[in-house]
Amino acid sequence: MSTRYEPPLCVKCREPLRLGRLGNDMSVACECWDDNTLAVYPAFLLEDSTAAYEETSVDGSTAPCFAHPERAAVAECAVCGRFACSLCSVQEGERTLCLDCFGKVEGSSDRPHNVTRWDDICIAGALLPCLLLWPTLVSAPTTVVLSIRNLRKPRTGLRPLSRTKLTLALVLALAECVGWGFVFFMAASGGPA
Amino acid sequence: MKGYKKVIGRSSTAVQKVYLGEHDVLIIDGTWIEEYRRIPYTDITAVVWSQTQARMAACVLSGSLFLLFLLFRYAADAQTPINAFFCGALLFVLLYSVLKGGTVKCALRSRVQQVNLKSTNRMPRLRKLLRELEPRIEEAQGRGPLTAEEVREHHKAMQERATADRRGRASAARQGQTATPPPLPTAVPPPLPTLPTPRSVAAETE
Repeated sequence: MSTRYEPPLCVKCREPLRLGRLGNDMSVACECWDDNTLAVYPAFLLEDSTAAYEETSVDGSTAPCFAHPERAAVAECAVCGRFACSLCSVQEGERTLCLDCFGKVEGSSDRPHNVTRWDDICIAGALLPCLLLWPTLVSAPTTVVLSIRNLRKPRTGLRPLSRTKLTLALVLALAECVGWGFVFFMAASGGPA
Repeated sequence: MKGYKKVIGRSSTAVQKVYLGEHDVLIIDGTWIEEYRRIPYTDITAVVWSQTQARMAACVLSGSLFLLFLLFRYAADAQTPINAFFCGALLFVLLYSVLKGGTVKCALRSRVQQVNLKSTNRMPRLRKLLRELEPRIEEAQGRGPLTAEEVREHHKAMQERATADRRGRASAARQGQTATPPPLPTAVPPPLPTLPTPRSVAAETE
């Protein structure tokens, strides 16, 4: 499959590089006076300046892709009905989906686009408030709840949440809770606090 | 992470990790909410990088400040712990900048997008990435990097095709504008049926 030709962009000004001026050392000067060096791979030769107009469209006409208006649509999303070009369409079993719907459907949860790192958040929630001490009154119970909730979740995905971090956060937060309990107990019983 | 090898971790200025899998490069952005992007090896068209002056600037700035503090420490006889701390910190920044290698800005170009590799901000890191990445791309695409001559020729051919395509479309549009519109149909339409008016109905009855 060929795709539309677009030369690589300058890493500083994001303008297309003039590859006609490419030196034998694979470096090319951009118009922003910045020297860009390239390592170019064979997939570059598959890019075609007329590819966008050569694709077979979904109904014989030139319906544009929803995400790439300059490309002809080759499929219709089975969920949302948007037209999708060959780059945006994904085969999910017998259905063809657009990328947005593919990210939402069940069964693709092991290939997520965004993941919230609750293990890191719990560790931060257990440690950072210790710098000021008094915020731990709120953060410690919250961290306990969050840690327990995420420890009970199944370990799925590409980078599952770290049980070690969650357990450590739980232990620290429990220690903070016990510390506050001790302080309140001493205050109530008229101790040194 | 199962099936993926971590190549680039977070840097001192950016939080982005690069993993190499069996079929694709996985780029993870962010700390607490991670965004995943996968680029198949078959789609990678180029790695673009450019050397920056950040290392030079850091060296000059930290070196000159270090000398200033050192001069102040011995010339003005201000041998305080604060002065020693600043001298040590600036010396650390200077050595870190020198030893970590030259700074670069790097991007990975695929057939549909160009992703900035924010963590690949030093030459040694870039070399490591290329060392790990190139054999995988070679395996997926069948051969190694192109030569400058091949790139120039392909670029030239594509530009010529694009120009010819533009000219063709422009001339087609001009022809469409100057063409005479199709003639109107000359056949006379049949007369409309005459409906009886109240006056004619009254005359008929009389």
